[in-house]
Amino acid sequence: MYRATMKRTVVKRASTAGLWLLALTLMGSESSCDPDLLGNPGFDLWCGDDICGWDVEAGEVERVSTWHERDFAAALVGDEVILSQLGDFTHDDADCLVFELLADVGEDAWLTVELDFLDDGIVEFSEPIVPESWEPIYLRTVPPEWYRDARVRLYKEGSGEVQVAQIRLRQEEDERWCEEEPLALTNRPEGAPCTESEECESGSCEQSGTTGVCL
Amino acid sequence: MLTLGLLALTAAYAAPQEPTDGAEGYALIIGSNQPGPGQEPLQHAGDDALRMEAVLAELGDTDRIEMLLDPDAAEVLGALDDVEAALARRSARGEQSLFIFYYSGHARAQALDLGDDALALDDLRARLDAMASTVTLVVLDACQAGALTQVKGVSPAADFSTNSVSRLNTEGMAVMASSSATELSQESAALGGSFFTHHLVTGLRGAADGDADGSVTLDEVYRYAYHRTLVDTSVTAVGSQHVTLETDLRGRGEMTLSRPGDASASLWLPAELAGEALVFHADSELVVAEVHKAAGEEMNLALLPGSYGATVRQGERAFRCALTLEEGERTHLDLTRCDAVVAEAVTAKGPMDPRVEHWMVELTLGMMGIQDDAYTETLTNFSFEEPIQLFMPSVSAWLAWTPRPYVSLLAGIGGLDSRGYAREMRALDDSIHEQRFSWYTARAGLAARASYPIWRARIVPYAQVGAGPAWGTTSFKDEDISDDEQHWGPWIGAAGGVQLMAGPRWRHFGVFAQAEAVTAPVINNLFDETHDSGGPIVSMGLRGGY
Repeated sequence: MYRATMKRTVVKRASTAGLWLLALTLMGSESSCDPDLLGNPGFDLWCGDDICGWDVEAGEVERVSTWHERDFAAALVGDEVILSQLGDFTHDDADCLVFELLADVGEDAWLTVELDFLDDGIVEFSEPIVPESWEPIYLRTVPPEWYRDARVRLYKEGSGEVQVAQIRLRQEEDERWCEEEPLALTNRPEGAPCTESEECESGSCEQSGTTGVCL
Repeated sequence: MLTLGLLALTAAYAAPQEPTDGAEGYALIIGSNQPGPGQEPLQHAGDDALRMEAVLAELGDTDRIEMLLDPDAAEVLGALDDVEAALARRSARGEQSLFIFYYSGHARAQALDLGDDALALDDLRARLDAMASTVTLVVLDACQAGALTQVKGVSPAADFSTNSVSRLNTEGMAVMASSSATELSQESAALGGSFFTHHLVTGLRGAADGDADGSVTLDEVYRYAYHRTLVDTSVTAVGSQHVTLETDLRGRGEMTLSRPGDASASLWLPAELAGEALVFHADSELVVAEVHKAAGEEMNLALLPGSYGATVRQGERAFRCALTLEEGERTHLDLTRCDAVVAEAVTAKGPMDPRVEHWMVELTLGMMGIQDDAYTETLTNFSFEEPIQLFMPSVSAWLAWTPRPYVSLLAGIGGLDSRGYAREMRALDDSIHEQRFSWYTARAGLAARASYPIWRARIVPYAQVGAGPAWGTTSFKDEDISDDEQHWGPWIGAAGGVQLMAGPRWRHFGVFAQAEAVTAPVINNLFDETHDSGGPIVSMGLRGGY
C-alpha cells in the first residue's frame, strides 16, 4: 500500500517516550465543560459553504450530517486534505494538552493530528489515529515549556472517506498523563526563553543563571 | 368472616337433648371447598355450611347438628353411620325423626368431589334411602346436583310449576338440588356464598313465609329459592340455574323446615316497603339476607340479636340503615330512620360478581428504569450529557372491560421514557451556547388480563400482556433553531400485579400495584441505531368503575 507524504520538516522527537497515544473508546471522566482551546471544535459553525474558524490548506471540506440532521461534521474530500486552525493559546494557558477527537475514518484513508508550535512549518507533534467509527479518541502530549502560536492540523490522506465531528483541545487536569518530557521546540524567536543555542532561530542562547534568552 | 379450612369439625353436635314427645331432628351439614381433579377450589362452600348450620340451629326443628368442613369420603360415611345408629334407636322405640342432609361443594354427575376423594352418588343415595328417619330431606348445593335424582331413575323437576306436589306427605324423602343434572351451580363473591344456599337460608329466615304463618315449609322455601336463584343467575356469564325438588313423601300435611315466627329477634319489613333489601352483619359486612320486597307483602326475617346494616334500593333512590336487633323484639325497618345515599354507591353485587359485565378506569403513576443502548451511547460520544437519573416517572390511563369472570380487556394510553441531553458549544468569539436534544415517547394499545380474586374478591392478583403503537418526538434545539421529528414503532409488554378492592360499600374502587416490562423500539438516528423507549416499570394506581 502506497502512502503519500508531504514535504515538510518533521522534528525528530527528543524522546520517543515524550509522546504517546492513548486510544480509549469510552472516557466518562472526560468533561466537555473544560474550556476548549480551539474555536468551533464541533464543526457546527459554517460560514456559507466554508467552515468557520478553520483554514483549508489543501483539498475540500464539506458539511455533512452525522447522527442527526442538525449535528454536523466536516467531511474531508479528496486524496489529500489539510484542515488547520491557529490556536489562540500559549504556554501560560496549557502545559499539558489533550485532544478529544470524534471521527469516522473509512477504508483507504488515514488521518493524522499535528501540532506546529510557533506556526513555523515545523511540526512538533504528529500522530496518526485509527478510531473506531464515531468512538472518541484521546491524544495527550506535554507541549514545550515555552510556546505560542500553536497551529493544529488535521491531515487526511487516501481515497477513502473521513468525517470529523469534533476536535477539542484542552488542558489535561489529570497530572498522571503529564509526566513525560515536554516536546522539544526549535526555531525560537528573539527574546524567547531557551536552554540551548540549538533551540534559537538565531542559533544563540544567552545564559543568565539558570535561564537563557534567544538572541 | 366465616373462614374455611380452620374449622375441621368432625363431630360437632349441638347440645344433645332428651327425646321429646315429638319428632327429633338430626342434621348433617357438609361444606367442602376442596377441588376434585381438574377443578378449581371453591371460595364459599364452607361459609354456606356455616350459614345453614346457623339457621337450622336457630329456627329449625333440628335437635342435633353435626357439621363437617372439607371432609373425606370416610368421614362423611362415618358421620352417616352415627346418624343412622341414632335414628335406628329412635325407630326401634317407635319415635319419629327428621334427618336433614346438606352438602355444599363440588360434584359431578356420578359423585361428590371431596378433594382427592369422592363419594359416589349411588352409595350416598343408598345410605340415605336406608336411613331410619321418618322424613329425610337432602339438600345439595353443587354442580349437576340434580343428577342425584337420576340414580333412582326419577326425572328431576325442571319447573316446580309442573312437578310440585300440592299436598306434601310426611313420610319419605325429599331431595332439593341447587341445579339440574346438567347445570352448574354458582357462587357469588358479593354474597360470600352460593346463590342457592343464600336464598335457601334467607327463605328459611322468613322471606319464604308466603302465608305469614310464622313457619316456612318445604314447598314455600323451594318456590322462594327457585325463583330467586333463577332470577339472580339468569344474568351471569355461567347462565341460569334451576333449583330442583324431588319428593317421595307420603301422608298428609306440609313439611315445616323452620319457624321464624318463634325467633327471639327479627327484622320486620312492613307491607308498604318495596325495593331490594340487603341485610348484613354490621362488623363483618357478611350478607345474611337479600330480598326483593314487593309492596303489599309483609316479611319477617328471623335473625340473631345484634348489630346489622341494611341497604334498601328503590329505583334511583337508595337508603342505608343501621339496625340493632334486641332479644325478644321485632325490629321494624323504617326508611325514615335511614340515611339516603347516592344510588350508585349502593349495589347488590360486588365488582367480581360474575353475573355483571363491568367497566373500570385505572390511573397509574409509576417509575421507569433508565435504559441505555447504542443510541444513547452515541449521544454521549458526541459530548451530550444527561442529568444523573436512575428512574423517570410514567403515567398512564386504562379502561378495563370485564366480560367474563377472571378475564379483562384493556385499552389505554400512557407515557414511556422521556429524556433530555445538552452540550455546550464554543463559538469563535469564545461565547458558549448550548445545544439540547430531548425526546418524549408514549404508547397506546390493548391488553388482555387474567385475574383470580381471592379473599372475598378483595385481593385480586393478575397477569397481563399488551401491545400497540408507540410514538416519539425528538427535538434538537440550538439557540433559535428547533428541529422536531416524529417517530413511530411498536411496543409489547407483560405485567403482573395485585389489586386491593374496597369492602362492600366501595367495592367498585380499589388500588393496585404492578410491575411491567415493556420494549418499545421507537426512536432512531441517522446511524440506524434504535432506542428502546421501554424498560421496567413499577407503578401504583387507583381503579374505579361500576
